[in-house]
Amino acid sequence: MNMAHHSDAIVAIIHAPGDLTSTTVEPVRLAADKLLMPDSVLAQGWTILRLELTTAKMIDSVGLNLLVSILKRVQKRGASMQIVCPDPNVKRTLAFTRLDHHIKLIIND
Amino acid sequence: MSPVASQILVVEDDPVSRRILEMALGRQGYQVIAAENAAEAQAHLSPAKISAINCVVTDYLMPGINGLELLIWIRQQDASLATIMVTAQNEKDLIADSLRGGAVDFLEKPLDLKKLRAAVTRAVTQTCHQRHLAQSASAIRKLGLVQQRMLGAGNGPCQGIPRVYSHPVHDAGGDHFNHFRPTADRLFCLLTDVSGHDVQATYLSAFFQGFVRGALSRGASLEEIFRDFNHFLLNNTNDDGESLHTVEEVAASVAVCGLLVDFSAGTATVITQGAPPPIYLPPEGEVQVLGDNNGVPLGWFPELSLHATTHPFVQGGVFCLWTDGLGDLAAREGTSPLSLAYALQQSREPGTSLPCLTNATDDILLAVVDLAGEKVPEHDFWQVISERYHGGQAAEIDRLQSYWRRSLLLMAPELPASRLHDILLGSREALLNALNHGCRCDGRQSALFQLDCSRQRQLVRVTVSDPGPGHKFDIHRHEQRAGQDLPTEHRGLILMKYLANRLRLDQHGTRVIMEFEFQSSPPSPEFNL
Repeated sequence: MNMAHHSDAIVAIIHAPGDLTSTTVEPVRLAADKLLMPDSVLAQGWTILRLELTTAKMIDSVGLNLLVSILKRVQKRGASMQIVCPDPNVKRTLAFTRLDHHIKLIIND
Repeated sequence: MSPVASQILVVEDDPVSRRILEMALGRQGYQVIAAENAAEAQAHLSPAKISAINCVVTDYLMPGINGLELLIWIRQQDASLATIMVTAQNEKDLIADSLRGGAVDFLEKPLDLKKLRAAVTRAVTQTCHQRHLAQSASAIRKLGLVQQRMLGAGNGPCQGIPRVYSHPVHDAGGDHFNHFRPTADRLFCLLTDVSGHDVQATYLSAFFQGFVRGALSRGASLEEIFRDFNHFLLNNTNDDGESLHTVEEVAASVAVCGLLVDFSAGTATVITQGAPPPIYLPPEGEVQVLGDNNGVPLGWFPELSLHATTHPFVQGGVFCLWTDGLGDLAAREGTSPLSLAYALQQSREPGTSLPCLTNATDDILLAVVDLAGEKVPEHDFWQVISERYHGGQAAEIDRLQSYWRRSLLLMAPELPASRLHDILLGSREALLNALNHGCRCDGRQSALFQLDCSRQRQLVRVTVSDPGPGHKFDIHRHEQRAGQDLPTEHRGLILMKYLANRLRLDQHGTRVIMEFEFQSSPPSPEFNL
């Protein structure tokens, strides 16, 4: 997890270590909690949360549920969310569940 | 080996040295043929004559072809013929080259006749030994070919005629299969696996098959025959004729599976002693293991606990019998035995191969009895996986997913990566739902996971059944709500709907059936989640 400054926004970045599935969501959940807990130091300043799924080959329903949960919290604080997902199957899963309507997908980063 | 019977070819361009060699070896009782150069020697080593020569003693330095070149030529003609190189003193490089070229020994000039005689004796013995080994290997290869023919590998597909697939580790093996019809409406199949992968195992396996067939035709029951042969093994397979009482002392044992199919009664009767129990693949539903594998191989203990079990079957199913080599290789490759059984059948089709067979450490034999008489590799659906998982296994889902993946790819390597992803993700969702909700994570409850594949139809079908009460919600209405409110429940079910080309929920969702076409992904959904 780190922060990056883009032209007019501070982007909080979470790197997922691999797939986002029932057995692998915890590191991402913990990282998101650190960014989204109101009393967290890391919760301050950023306006975009970017989740990097650069090595992910699969997202299952538990992973999707986590994304929805993070998205709702991000939206609640008036920020937006991005996902970097170069894998076509991951992109397809996000597209046909219509999460791409709520989250900006970045295919090549 | 008597020296009188051995012929030595001496190749030496110097007449005096050649004569000395002739006389020295002749006195020892060898028949000596002399050649003054390599070309003349090659004439004595023609295909028709070479097997009569037991040793070649050749000088290195000769006009024309030298001794090392002749040595290499001899190795190409008959690698078992031992050659001794004669060199000048202190030619270490040449000696090394000669040994690399296949010379069994070397002698330095001037010749020490005592050393010459000793070297020739060793060389003749080595040639005889090598030729004996080559003859034995050839005989075993022929035996293997006979065994393959006896396994009925050439049988065409028709009702009840087993198709047999054999992959012995060596040219001949201890796995055997036989089938015959005691009456018009019954088929008897006998699969045997004799301990060891050698000629003894091959012989004993064939002997046992004949023993059973003969005794059955005389009206003996299978139980009687197995007991008789158990007694025979215990009393006749060790040198002193005493009974064998421990596994360490067992010289030979026979793992056996007998399957009697009664077409009129629609039943299959099974006795298994030490071999894997046969598998029944019905046209629909759960794969059944017939009987158990509690019996010990014949030849281990004086007392045998024989237990025949009878099972009903329906037309259109398939019986599979295999030796433990198949299960061992499947475990090593991390695939289901059924996927390996399918791939083994496919590997006999022209232009196909099964690379994992090179990893087999045991003989493999598979017999497939197709009750419908169809050509099995094109059987409508083949059950790749049919397993029960208990409610506590959700944490093992990644391991299971890898196992499904390897099994599917072994059976259908042409499956596109995107469809494989969809099948695995859909299967994962269905099973996790069944384990977590249907079985309530209870280790005493189990869900049935079935993965069937039809390469002919280019279709994979996943069926997951659980013992739970199911659900009552309307999936279509849930989809609408999911699009608006982004709820987090039942997303797996909706995911399955869009991964599969067809999704069916039976019995209030306790039975989920998904179908995936090999090539076409399902259309994009109309609803938001």
